[in-house]
Amino acid sequence: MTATHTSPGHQSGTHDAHDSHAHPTTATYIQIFVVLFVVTAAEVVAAQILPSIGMTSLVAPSLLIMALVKGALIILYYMHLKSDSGVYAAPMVFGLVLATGMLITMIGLWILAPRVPCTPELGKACVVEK
Amino acid sequence: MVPPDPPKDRTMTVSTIEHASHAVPANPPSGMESLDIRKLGMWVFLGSDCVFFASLITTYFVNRPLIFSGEPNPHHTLGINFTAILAFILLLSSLTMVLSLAAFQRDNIQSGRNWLLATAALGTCFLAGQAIEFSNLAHEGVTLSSGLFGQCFLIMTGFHGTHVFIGVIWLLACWLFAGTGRFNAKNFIGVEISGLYWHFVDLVWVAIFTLIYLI
Repeated sequence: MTATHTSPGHQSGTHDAHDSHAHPTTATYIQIFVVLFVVTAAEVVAAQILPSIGMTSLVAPSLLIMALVKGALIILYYMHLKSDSGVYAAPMVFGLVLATGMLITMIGLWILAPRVPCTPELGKACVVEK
Repeated sequence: MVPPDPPKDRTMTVSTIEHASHAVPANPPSGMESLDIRKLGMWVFLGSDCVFFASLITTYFVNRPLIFSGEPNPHHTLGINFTAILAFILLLSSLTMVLSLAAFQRDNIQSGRNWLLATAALGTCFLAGQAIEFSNLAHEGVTLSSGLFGQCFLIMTGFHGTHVFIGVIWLLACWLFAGTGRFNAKNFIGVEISGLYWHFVDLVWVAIFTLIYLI
């Protein structure tokens, strides 16, 4: 894959259509797509095969890693964050950090305090307070 | 009738106007010295949308023990293979979107328009697939009022589908504008911003597909 960077001295308002440093090439985009396709296929296979061979504990970590790889490729290459100014990345990074923090915090809170008052609607999931 | 007073400093006014017309070029290059406020605004919106979808996913995960202890079991209800095809369609649409932008950057307007249309078509295919999935789920009793799973899942995927629908409309608008000559190698910021939105929609589906369907 071709790593590209924007030339800092580029004229404002103009664009050299043949400047290969501005953005990745078409071949790079297609290569990225192939990687995304393969990783997605691997995700589907992992989700269905790993539990059947007794490796259920590996399902979540492997899927999360593959999802992160796909997300990084889309953000860096398709959304051009790799070749654009880092200032554009700041709002997205802030949002992602906030989102991840919220997800981890809320799930952690619920895992630490799973007891809820029993009501008929909850059925099997509720815990009887003694 | 008394004519209005002329500007006191006409020269400065004219030069100010001329300067203003060049202050925000169509496609300012990347770099700290020339940020495009429109592009930055889209990134800020996408950052906020991240938090929005994270809140929906968090709601699902917080209620996951309750959801999986009841009926229907999501792993038995959700068709992974069919949804994987939808995921491939959306990934392919991301490719066509970025190829469209690349075409406009090369001043190949017709090719850019073709790729835009292909992206919109793939987005429509995704929406059709979602509609089929929602219909199948409704037949199995999973609706917004059927319980926790129905509410969490359908609200989350429904909002994503709404984003895709808006994206398709936006892409078709870009396709129409491109036909009038609005976008070219010197002015493709509109396509670039719509591309950012489209890739984000794909990114959200990557997260939903992994966290909700597969895990």
